[in-house]
Amino acid sequence: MTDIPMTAAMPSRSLWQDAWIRLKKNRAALASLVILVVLGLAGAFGPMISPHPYGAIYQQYVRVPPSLEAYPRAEEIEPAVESLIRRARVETTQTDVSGDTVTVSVASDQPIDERLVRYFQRSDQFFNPELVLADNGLTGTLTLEVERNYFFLGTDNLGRDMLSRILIGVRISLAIGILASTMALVLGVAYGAISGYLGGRIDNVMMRIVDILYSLPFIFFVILLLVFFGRSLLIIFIAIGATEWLDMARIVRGQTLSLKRREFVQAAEALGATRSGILRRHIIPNALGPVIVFVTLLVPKAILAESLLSFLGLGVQDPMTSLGLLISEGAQNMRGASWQLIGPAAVLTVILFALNFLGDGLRDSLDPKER
Amino acid sequence: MAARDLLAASALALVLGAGAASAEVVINRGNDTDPATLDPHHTQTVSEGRILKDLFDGLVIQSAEGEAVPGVAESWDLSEDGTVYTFHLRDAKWSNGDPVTAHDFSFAYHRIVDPMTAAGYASNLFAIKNAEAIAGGEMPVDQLGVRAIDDKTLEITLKAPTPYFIELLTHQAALPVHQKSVEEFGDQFTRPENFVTNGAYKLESFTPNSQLVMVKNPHYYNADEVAIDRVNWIPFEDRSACMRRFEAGEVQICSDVPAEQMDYVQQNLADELRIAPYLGTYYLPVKGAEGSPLKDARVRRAISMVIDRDFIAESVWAGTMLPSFKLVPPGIANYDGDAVTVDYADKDLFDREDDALALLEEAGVEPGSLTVELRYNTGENHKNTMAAIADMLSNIGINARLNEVEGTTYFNYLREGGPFDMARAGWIGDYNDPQNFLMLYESGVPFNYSRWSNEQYDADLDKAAITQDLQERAKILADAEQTLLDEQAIIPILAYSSRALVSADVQGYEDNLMDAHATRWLSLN
Amino acid sequence: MLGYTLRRMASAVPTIFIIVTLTFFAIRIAPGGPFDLERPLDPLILANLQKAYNLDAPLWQQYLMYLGNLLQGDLGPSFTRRDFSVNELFAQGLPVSILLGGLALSAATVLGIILGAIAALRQNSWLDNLIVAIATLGITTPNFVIAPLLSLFFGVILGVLPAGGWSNANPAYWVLPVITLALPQVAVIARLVRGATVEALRANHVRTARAYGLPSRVVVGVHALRAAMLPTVSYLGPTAAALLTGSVVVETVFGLPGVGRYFVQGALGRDYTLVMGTVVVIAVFVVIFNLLVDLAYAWLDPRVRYD
Repeated sequence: MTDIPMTAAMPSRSLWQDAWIRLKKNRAALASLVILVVLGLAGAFGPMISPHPYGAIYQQYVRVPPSLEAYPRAEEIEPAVESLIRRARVETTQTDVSGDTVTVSVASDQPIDERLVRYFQRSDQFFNPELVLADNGLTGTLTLEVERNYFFLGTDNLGRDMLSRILIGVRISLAIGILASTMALVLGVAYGAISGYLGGRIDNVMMRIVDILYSLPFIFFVILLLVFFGRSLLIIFIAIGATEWLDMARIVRGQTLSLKRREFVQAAEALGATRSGILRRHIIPNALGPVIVFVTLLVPKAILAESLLSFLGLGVQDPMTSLGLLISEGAQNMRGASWQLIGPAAVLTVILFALNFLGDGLRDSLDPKER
Repeated sequence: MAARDLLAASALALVLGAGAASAEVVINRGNDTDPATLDPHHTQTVSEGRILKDLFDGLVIQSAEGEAVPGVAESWDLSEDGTVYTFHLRDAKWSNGDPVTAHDFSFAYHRIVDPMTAAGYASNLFAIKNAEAIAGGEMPVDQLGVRAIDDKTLEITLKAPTPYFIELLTHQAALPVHQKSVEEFGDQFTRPENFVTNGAYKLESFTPNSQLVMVKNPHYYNADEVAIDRVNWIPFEDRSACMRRFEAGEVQICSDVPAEQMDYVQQNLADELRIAPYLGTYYLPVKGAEGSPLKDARVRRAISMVIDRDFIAESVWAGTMLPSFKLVPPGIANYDGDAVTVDYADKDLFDREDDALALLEEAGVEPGSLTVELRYNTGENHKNTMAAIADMLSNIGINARLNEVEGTTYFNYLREGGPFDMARAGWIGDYNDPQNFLMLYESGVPFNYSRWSNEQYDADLDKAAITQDLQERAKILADAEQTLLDEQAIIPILAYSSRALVSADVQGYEDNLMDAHATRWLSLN
Repeated sequence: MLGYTLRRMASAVPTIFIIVTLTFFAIRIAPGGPFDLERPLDPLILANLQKAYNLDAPLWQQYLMYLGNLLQGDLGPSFTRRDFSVNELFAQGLPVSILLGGLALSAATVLGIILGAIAALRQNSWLDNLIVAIATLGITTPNFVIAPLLSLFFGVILGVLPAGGWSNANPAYWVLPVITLALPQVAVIARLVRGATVEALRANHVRTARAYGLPSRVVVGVHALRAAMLPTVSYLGPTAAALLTGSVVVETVFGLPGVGRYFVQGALGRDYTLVMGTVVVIAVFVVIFNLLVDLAYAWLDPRVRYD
């Protein structure tokens, strides 16, 4: 309460500074902000530091479930070694596994080709093979190191690490959500406020344009864009942003229509404020409450719109992926490999929850009546 | 509780068909999609074929084992020179009681080649004398080599001896239509109230995206042996949806099973799962811009060598496809597939990679210098297949970029001869003969996406077309395939399998190469 | 008000005309045509086919012809469902979509308002948090996850409802699709109502009413909720238009004969007339519901006038 005279005495402190001070007091919102920043950083830098590139295929590890243990499992090492030795057309006489080192005694009727080692060099399961051959070349000892791979969230249908794919998916989905919503926010607020405030014929024409755009099928619109400009992330941003701003414009216009009859706007008009000044100082800030609530709905909507595109096969281009695409792929096999759905779905839920609490916090702190 | 049970009971009653009191036998069959039309002369797809072959009987039909057996034609004779077939028709009736005559077939075949009909599959009957010229508008329709000698005798004159002609007649393009109703109702003749059919079933209703209902045709010549009274064909764009309804007991046969869920299906529905070799090939046409290393057969061959078909078939397609190196699928009639050899097929993958590197070096392609675009259409497992191939190509220093394109644009682009490096294509045989596969790469045909042209290949196919001796013909065709594969104009990677879910209650469902399972052969326990 | 309504209806005509024109030319420039299937057609046959469907005429001629037919209420024959005209497809599909969408919309509105109001009145209580959490979950989960999960749980595992399919006569088939359609809308409406009610409760006239000692139920019911309805109504207009014209995901997963799939099937299959028909139908719905929204606005908030 002591804020009030202070604020009045310091008109230079802007709406946004006030909002920030209030937001800092809201623990849920602050925690959400932290989560979003962490996830944002994970999406931005995670794919670079992850041991598995998001596009890397591990043929031996297709659809392995999440595990804290490393692959290959102890009991898988021997069969894996033997199958590789068989491929080299050499026989195994003895295999010893001790920790991460494997020692194999090999034999053959014909002199053993030293190139045997490349079968292990190219394998995802072993590295550093060394072959010591007996003098006659028919027997030898092969030592190998087991390459330990961790798939904490399992792998997908091609043996790609789900964790790395989720990280890149977070990056793409957040980017789509934020960019498309920003586009919708800027376009929608400006358009809706102008239309509602100016009213009359201009409002009518502007809203008819919104009607027209609204009636153009979203999917159809995206297909056309993809067909003309090829499949790219930019097109997906634009397509989603261009569709989502329409709702925003409607809501802001509705608010404006009711705000412009309010006493304080009429007072400002009477005092000779310019139209743009009234729009910027009075209409838009007062309409911001519902707008912020709507943005918190819009970011998830944009992320989900992208996932609908993925469901229809119009999403981002493989090996890139998005959370929506991961979820739609996971949903196809929810009973056989549930981790492919649960991982990305959980991350998406966390993101959207955080956005939600942040949105509520922002609304409370931006509310001009709280000043 | 009571309300819930009532709800369940009424749902069940509906699933079983409204008149639960009468002992009507009803089957719900899943299909891949709705038919675009029920006019046999305008249909093109496998899912339309399934429905039409329940509604109509051709001269020849497919048995439960997928083999061509006498249908409306009881028997037939072939002239000495192999160009004139005379079909002797049995006593059969249309669903309105009219007799099925040779004139109906003659009318149908004249109708399908008529340019006014604009039938998509008219080309399937181009083996008949003058058919091609008529469809091209160069000759009047009455010049077609089809003639009804009397009500029970039909004579078909061919352009040249065609050993697979009888197989060809099992295709839906060769089905008859009821002349009177076509003439009376025009394009409305396929309406349930107007539709006259001569097969085991007649149409009762068709609700798009929901179901197509057919009931037993009382006038069918073999009506006594038709065990199922009512068939509800349900389109499933989402194959998982069919599987759920199958597990819920609402659907008895699913025409397809999602490959992604194969682990689950193999564990939980192993007895109901039917996987069988199918007459189809999944291959990669290679084109490349003028001057691209892809124009060099050695480079194409190197690419083919490093593709690990076993991994794609076993892991990406979860065992629902078979690894393949050839265009003509195994098990096909009139052919000797073993005569065609791909020397690297039996080598170990690592050796193949070494050989491929050597080939690339020979062709002057430095590792890392070649980038190819892998173009594919949205759908099924194409994305995973291509991603796996891209990864395999990187093993020999070829960079691959994926480009997924929406279906209609994709096929239009290929048909129009748009430039591409490597693409994907699949071909399901219309009839059981190697010609149906090898004709894909003849010069100048629209299927030839690579626009590959080889004189030897064309000459072999032309020669095979007039060779009557089946063994001799098989050899010539095998030579042609050998040329195609040596040149590696395409890279075959998989042979299709049909995959279906069939309830244990269904009897008479025999796995076969044609994936032909007409409802008349089925019964329910 | 009648005059206003009539004027708005009249102004919808050019709107629809512009939409039709835009879509007509847009889909025609898109590569590929209705006859580009996986199996390419013989060039000869393709030419015959295009002639049969008048696709070989100059584009402007086809456009005029389409407009002429449209004026007579004829949406033309479908290219990919050749046994039906587009009018017939909508006559069959629209009632299904309207039934499902209408049920979902009513359920979502009633539930959403109740939950939103409760949450606002008990702001920051555990109940509020719970409602907000559930609402967020409802918005978060894509319907292509919810729909198969519902079908799996109620259809396959419990076996109490059909796992898919459709019947006009048996409401058992309607339950799961309606739940799937309504769920995200309940969530959005609840959040909008909560937000607006919280705002309205702080507004001067509501405070005044409270200060005058009006019972809080009356205050909330009359003043706060009325104001809270504004953003909700804004949201409901386009949502209703979208819900009543079907959902591609719900129809695909449950196998329903609505019109939502025609949208995608038409655009992907280049079924020109089907796409045009869908666009016209959706445009009509959008226009009608926008008009209803504006009328409702005026009724809810007397400060808004018909301009």
